[in-house]
Amino acid sequence: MSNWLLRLLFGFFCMCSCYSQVTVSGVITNEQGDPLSLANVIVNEPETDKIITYAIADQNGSYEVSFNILEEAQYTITFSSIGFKPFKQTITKSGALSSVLNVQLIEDNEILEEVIVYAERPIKVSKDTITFKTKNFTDGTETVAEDLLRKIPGISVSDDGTIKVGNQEVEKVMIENDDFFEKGYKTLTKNLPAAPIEKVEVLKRYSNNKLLKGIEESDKIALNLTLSDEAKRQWFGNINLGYDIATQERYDARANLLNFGKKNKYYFFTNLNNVGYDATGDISNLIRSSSYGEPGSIGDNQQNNKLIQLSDRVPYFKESRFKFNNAELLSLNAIFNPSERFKIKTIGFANWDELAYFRNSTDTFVANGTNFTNSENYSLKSDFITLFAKLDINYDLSKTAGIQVLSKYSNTQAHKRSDLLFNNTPTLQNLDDTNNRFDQKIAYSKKFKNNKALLITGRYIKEEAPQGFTVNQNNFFTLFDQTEPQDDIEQQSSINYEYLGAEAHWLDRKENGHLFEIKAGNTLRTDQLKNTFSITTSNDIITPVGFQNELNYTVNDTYLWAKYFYKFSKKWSITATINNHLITNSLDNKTTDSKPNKETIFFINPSLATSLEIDNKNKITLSSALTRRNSDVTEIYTDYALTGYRNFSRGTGAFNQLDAFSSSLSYELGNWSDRFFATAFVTYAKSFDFLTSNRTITQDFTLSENIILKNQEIISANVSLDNYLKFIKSNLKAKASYSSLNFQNVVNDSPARKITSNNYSYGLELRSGFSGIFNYHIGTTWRTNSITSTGFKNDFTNNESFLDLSFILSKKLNIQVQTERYFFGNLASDNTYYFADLTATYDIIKNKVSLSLSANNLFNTEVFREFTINDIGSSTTEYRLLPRYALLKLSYRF
Amino acid sequence: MGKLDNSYSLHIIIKNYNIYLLLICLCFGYKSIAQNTTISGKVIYHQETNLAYLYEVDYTLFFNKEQSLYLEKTKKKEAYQEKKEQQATEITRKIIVPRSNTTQQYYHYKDDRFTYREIWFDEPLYVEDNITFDWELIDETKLIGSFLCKKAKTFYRGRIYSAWYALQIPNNYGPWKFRGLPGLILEVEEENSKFRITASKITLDDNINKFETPENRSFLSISEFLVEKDRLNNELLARINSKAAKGSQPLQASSNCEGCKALQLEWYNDKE
Repeated sequence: MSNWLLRLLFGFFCMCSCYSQVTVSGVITNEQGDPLSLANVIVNEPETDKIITYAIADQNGSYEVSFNILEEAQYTITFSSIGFKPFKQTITKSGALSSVLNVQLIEDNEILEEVIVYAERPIKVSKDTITFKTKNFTDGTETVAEDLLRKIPGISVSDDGTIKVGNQEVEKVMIENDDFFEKGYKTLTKNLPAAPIEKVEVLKRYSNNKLLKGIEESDKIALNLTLSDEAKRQWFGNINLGYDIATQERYDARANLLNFGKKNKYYFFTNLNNVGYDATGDISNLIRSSSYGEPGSIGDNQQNNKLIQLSDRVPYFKESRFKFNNAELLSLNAIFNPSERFKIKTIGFANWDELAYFRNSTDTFVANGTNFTNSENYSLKSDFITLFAKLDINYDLSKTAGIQVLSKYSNTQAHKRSDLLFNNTPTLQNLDDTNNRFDQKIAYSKKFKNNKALLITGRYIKEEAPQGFTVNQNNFFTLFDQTEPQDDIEQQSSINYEYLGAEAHWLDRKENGHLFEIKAGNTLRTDQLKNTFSITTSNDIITPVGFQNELNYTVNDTYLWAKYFYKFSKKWSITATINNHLITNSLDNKTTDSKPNKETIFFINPSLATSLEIDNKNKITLSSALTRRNSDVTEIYTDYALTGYRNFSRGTGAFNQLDAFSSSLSYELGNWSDRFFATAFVTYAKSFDFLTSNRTITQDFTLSENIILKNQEIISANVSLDNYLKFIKSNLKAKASYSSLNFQNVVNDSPARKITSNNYSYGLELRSGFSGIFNYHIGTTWRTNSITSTGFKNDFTNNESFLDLSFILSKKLNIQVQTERYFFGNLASDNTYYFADLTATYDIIKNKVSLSLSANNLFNTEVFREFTINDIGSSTTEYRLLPRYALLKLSYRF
Repeated sequence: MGKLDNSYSLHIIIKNYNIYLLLICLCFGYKSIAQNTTISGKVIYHQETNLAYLYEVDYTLFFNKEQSLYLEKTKKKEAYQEKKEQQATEITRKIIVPRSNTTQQYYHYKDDRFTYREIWFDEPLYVEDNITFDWELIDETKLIGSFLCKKAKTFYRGRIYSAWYALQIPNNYGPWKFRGLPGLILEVEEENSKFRITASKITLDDNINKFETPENRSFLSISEFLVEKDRLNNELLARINSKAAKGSQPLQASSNCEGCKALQLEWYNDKE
């Protein structure tokens, strides 16, 4: 057969020396002549193993291959089928454009016992870090970082810019291991050009302190982007401009400007608005301490209290509805890396704000046979200037040790002025409020073998808060002899403190996953509380005795804290914590000549928590704690201090510790995405000792002092049930909650009054899950509050309802409408309020230019009245609201 | 969702594994026995899907001269998992949809029919498909284990795949839906590494010819399958959206948005 074919081919050799197409076909059979279906036919190029074409035989063993053939070349056709010896045939150019080649294959069962192969992966994986070279994943259509990240396998970016690795949102996105934004990373990923990004690293089990990696409990993920040199000179950012097209009175403008080089990085941000938006909210990630609750957070809870607060009441809804503001914020931030081991981060901002607040209220007092009604017509204007600076220096001493020095300084100057009609008497209040805070922290971290680490942290904080307060009316004329109502009153006060703390924290992650932690430390806090109260009468300045404080209160706390996290199984874990304190209190009252009062106490605060998954559907967590709390300076100061234009308060005058027990239980039935899902939460707390007030209340003024009484109890419970209704594709949610508080206080020399406050609420919500353009969410809640005491009962029932509509008309255009209704059961008139807001967004060029409209307070509701009750009466308060406005916003990225 | 008090974000994953680098080469050997029965084979593949998350699972391919079955390894029933994380004002919810014991399988019949059972949201869907791969042969070789493999490329439902096939095993089956090369396909990789199959153990013998043939049942056509998949997806999404926080925008079940496309392995044409 082959000779015949060869002769045939030779015949054609002399005629042509160019390519021509040849088709070979035939039937492949076994030795018995049965067709071999699915046998392979491969055509190889002459003298190489390059396959030009191939064919697979059909059910009848027939095949057909066509290929281009070159003169004088020898092509090989190989016939093969599994379990048969391959058969090779050489073909050279012949005259026939098609030829028939029937083949019989000989069985040859070559049996392969077992082959184990290994495969190499193109993505580099080291422990907890995955690195991607971006050039392998880009195609040039990416404009900003999030477009590029979207193409990296395993990273997903949602339409709103949320970045997830696997199923988890990233903690932060760093540039060359530097970070400004933390959770606010969208500012970066939506603006950073994609082109200079060279490498993307996914850091799993990320720890903010890199030396604690693998030791502290963490399942955080961070991304790190590496840039090429060309990024250095590139500035990028975005700008958003919003202008009120309805009244021409409101605006909202913000801009981000960034420049990221290999060594130095800069970020500028500005926001100007008068739509009630807190401009510092956008940079809160820069200001706040990210280490909260993490090891080495000593001193993070230190803060200052103030004697006088002027905007004392706020309504029970969105702040931006009643907050009249005019804010300008400018923030400048930079990161410098002088060397590999050395990093300096500076953050600074200045914020100017003018706030205004308006309310009218009527307060009714009924207790001990006395009753009266006061009215206040109140307006407050405040000017704020806030300056903030933070310097964060990190230095790596070695691969296992590092040092961080963190300095923060902030200064707030506020001038507040309130015009008030109190029972038709015009009253003017002026408050100069200053806050100065200096905060210094040094932390040393050292990592040891076998997942152990030591952190030594030192912290110093100094905060000063002087207040100067004047009122041009004297409501205390019945309290102080020889004074008249028209006299001016004044108080200069300050609460300053210094805090010094040092702590050593040892973490030990056991091989079985248990975590043992122990902390030993000492903190010293000295508070200085001072107030000078005076009344300027027509011929004298009176400084009443018993209304001036000057005291130093020092608390030294030496503590030993230990915690053990014990994991019995995936379903059951227990955390036990024990906290030993040795506290020395010292109170030095400078207004008397007596020696400082001192006491030293030792106590232990234990707590225990456990969580148990009974099965897939039932989960329980239970926690209990016994606590003893040492009082702070505002709870113990001895003499009265002015806390408002007609209020005095004073502390207990002595040290005290308050003992309490608390316990909570939560239960979950089913899973959140199941058709039926229920949760219940019950908490009970008993304060064996509690701080309450002894008040002397007259129509003109109130004197209040802290007293300690026994046994306050609070119990609260709430239940929520979710049931998905398939036939209307909507979820029905039912909620109910109950809380009851039992406490006592003293009013106008009464015996201790037992007071019970009960709150109930119950409501229903229905929300659709349609896949079309339209969705709704509707709900209503009733709230009943009641306060009872001997011979006294106050209660009301209010209702709030809402209806939200969402229209996603296209990928470019969506509209959201939110409406609310408030009903106050105890108001005879004007007891129902409606609100509606609308937002519409239109993407003109995706990721580049978009236009949005946000129309607020569409019903133009200008006042909002609310009814509240307390143990001595009730109040009706009317707040002024921002009138209707419609902001048209343009966003542009450059 | 920007400035809302609570915004929920959510996604569904089936199971996460860690990536590991190497499967160590253990042993290999040949045994020549003259036999009359038809040779069959068994290959264990490691399949990675790396879309929104990395999903790794092992499959076994059973084949003889006339048919093949690509069967997912049975795993223990997985627990339903949910995790709620709260960071500042944002709540992230993770839902891990469990898998019952039903496995995915792909079956090429003697008469060229092709059916599979895929599991979507824990619901098995039986589909009859008809795919012709248009392989472009590439003159590149590499060794996979002891097998000299050749490369081929194809464009299939929106993505480009390269396959490595062993001429030494003259059989035209392969893992997943792939087939039609003049040698057993041992490795497949999607061009952006979104999908990868690697053989880890290859056995050729005469006694691995028992096929767990799929039961005789009615199958969905591709268009019916897509409708059914959408229905299941929408149902889950509806349940999730209807429980989202007040004021949050509903998640969209869009199958051809830019972001969603990157999260799908196969892009079906409108006519399918």
